[in-house]
Amino acid sequence: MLLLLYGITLLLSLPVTLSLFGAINTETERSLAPLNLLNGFDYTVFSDFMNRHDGAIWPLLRAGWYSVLVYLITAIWTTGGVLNSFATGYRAVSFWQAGTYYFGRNARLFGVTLLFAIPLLVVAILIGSLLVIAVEDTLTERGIALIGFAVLAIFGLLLTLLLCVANYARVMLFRTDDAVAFRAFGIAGRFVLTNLRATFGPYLLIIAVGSALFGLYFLLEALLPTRNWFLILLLTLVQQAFIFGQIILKVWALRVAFEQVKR
Amino acid sequence: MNLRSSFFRLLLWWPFILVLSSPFSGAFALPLSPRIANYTIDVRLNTDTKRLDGRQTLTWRNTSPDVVTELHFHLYLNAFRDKKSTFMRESGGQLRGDELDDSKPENFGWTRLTALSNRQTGENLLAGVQFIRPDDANATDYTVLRVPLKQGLKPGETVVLDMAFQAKLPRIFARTGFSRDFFLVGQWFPKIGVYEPAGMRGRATGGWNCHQFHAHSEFYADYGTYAVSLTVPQKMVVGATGQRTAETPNRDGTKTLRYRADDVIDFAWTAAPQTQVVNDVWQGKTGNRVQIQLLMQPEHANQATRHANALKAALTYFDKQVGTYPYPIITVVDPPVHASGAAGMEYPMFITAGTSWGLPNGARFPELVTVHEFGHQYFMQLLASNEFEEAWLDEGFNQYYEGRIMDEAGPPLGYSARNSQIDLWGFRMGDLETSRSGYAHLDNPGIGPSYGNVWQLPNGYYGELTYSKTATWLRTLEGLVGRRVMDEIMQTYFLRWRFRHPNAQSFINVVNEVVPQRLGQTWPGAAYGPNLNWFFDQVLFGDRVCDYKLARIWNYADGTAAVRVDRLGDMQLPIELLVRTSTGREQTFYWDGKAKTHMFSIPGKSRIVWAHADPKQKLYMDIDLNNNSRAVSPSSAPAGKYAGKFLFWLQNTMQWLAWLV
Ligand SMILES: [Zn+2]
Repeated sequence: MLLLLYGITLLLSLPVTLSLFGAINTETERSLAPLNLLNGFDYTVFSDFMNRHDGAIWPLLRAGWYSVLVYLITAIWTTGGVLNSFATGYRAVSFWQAGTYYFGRNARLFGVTLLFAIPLLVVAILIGSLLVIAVEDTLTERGIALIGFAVLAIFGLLLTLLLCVANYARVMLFRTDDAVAFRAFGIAGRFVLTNLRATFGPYLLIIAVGSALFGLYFLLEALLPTRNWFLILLLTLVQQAFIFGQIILKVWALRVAFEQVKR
Repeated sequence: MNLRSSFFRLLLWWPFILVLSSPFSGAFALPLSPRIANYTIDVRLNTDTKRLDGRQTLTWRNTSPDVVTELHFHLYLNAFRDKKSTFMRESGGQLRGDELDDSKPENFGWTRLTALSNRQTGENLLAGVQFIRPDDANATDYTVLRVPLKQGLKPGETVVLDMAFQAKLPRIFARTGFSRDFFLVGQWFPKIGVYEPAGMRGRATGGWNCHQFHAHSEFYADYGTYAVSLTVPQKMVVGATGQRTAETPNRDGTKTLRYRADDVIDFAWTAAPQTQVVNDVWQGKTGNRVQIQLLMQPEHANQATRHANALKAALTYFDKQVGTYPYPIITVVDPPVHASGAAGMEYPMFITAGTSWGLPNGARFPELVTVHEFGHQYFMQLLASNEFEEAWLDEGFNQYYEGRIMDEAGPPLGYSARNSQIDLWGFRMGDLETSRSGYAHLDNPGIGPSYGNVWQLPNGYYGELTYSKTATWLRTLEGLVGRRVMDEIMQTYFLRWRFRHPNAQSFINVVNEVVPQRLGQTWPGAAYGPNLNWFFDQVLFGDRVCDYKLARIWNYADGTAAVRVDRLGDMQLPIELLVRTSTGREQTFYWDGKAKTHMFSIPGKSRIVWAHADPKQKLYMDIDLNNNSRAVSPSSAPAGKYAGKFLFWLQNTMQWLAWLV
């Protein structure tokens, strides 16, 4: 099942990636200059390239964004399959059926999540800017920066809590075979808040593990110079392992919620 | 430290200490400059009303062969009088990203003369003054004042004027003014223009050069001496052009600080209560010693070393490559973020930098600004070009040296040409390449020449044409004549024109003298003519664009080979071609670069692996350096690297958004 989820990411990203590979190769017009980009970064080569050839690159970056949106829809669909696999074990046919069966309510739940997340974002920006404007004349630069960080941290924490609630709501929609996303969200909210340590705790831990992995990745990237094809492929392998790790974390978070709600 | 050696060092220094401490040393010091406009100013700052109350004595010498019947003065602060001044009309009330909040009357500024008399004759000249607009017909601009003299001033004669003035400082958005309790006082006193006799800077007839204050233009002034007394509240920490000679507390809670600066073209100062003073010293290899004074925001105190290091690197580099810094001190002001309109500005012996709290070392902005503004001690103060008419001559030259220093000055900076501006999370930018990119990647690099009155340059291209384009063509000149000859050009230009007012021709003459002398007929540019006028016609006075392209490579069946280079732009420059064959041999060919295209037949029998037009990037102003080379079978690894990166970040975005569902 994990392989299937990973396969979907790869499958959705590969076409536009390969197009980009082709486009860069064509647009560099056999130049020697891009070789300077191999080990490190060369602003002159990069900016000269983007100045002349951005017309060939931007559409592909936009296409990349579209494939992200397609993935998002796919992910709504796979959620049902994953939950079903928790309950009955993974079978391709039932994964497919459950995904389709739960797609509607999971999509609505996604809508509900956005309904909370977007106002949260707006309020955070509003409060952040109002605070900065209010203290701008009295506080030092460090003070203003700290306020910014504090607002960001609080927003991040609330958003994580929101996503945690949505995670439990997803499990409840599955467990109780309820189709009303809003109600499930409310029940999940109460459940998470009353069992904060048991629910939000592991969720935060998983997010922390993900962030730590990210740090690890940047360390590895700095250690791996991309001098030639072999090293590039090696780095790509590391990157893919990292993506796989993220998929595991996401499924793990759902699994934790699944076990919690059962009890 | 070894005691004996320090004792001997003290002995060695003793004669210098005697001279320096002598109260007459200033009076007896040989003038470095013509000292045409000399000021004694006594000014009081009211920090509540943001007003200046000043008296000044101007001693002006007529060094021209003409009888001068009137004097012209800049009253720069009147640019901030209202929205109808030429400055405000051109700038729309915003400069370099800082905007004037025009809803508050206290944000505006002005100045006026309240007394003006001739000390020698006792005549009151105030009644006869008149505002003039030499550049435009804007009747609501009050930045230039004409003062008719009752009796003409004969050649060699000196006039002494006693003046009184009042001023209200604007809120800082364009260099000068106040922001909360921080004051940066520049362009603040009635300042005489430059009288140019016929023949000076290409003038046909003698006359005043005293332009109105324009949005993008800076200044132009004669050398002189300044003795300035500043009276400010006692809590204020003050820095200014020159050296402090006295400090006396007054009974009314103020203090009076005296400053002395000789052979300079301007005087600026700052006052703020929240300032941390950091002192340092730069010691040159040739024995030159310069006192470094940093006026830091307390929050930025941990960045003082960054400023000092940049300053030392610049001092060392200029000392070695261009000429000696002749002044005893350099003061750097680090303005608070709310006064960022005052950041990054140059005055004699006094510059402003700019940084913010928590700026990582990889973002080298404080270093860059310090190096840049210090460079203006050469291209502005020591070489006092007309910044109204030829801004490229100070900003562009300075930008070129900023690039050289940031890219290659070595310790204590130690950056490279690839990372001297930014080096953060794998993203890197060098300084000179950023200048080049600013010009080469304009929507239209052929939009206009660098040359011309600043306020008449194509709208919106002032910075690119004066700073970036000039720096890029100077580096191109360096590429064509070589670093050694380029340095000799600059040193000659500096020695010949320091403490004077050079113009374009001054520099071109030096180039046309040094290059044939050093390179004769042996360099590729000789094919274009006996001097380098062809170069300046294209890069300085013209709007041509340089773009050479390696178009094709042929490896014929009979073993011979050929390479075609196309000239896509309308600029013509001599160019080299480097060809590598499969046996590993590399050969260089030359082409004068004039025709639209050129076919190189490659002798010998071996297959070409790649060919590179202008491999050393001598033609730095080529707007696309990537199309200068071509490989027969190019590596796709770079594309692979970026495709891999793209794949990874695309998948990451997918995973992050997946947490929403
Ligand atoms: Zn400058």
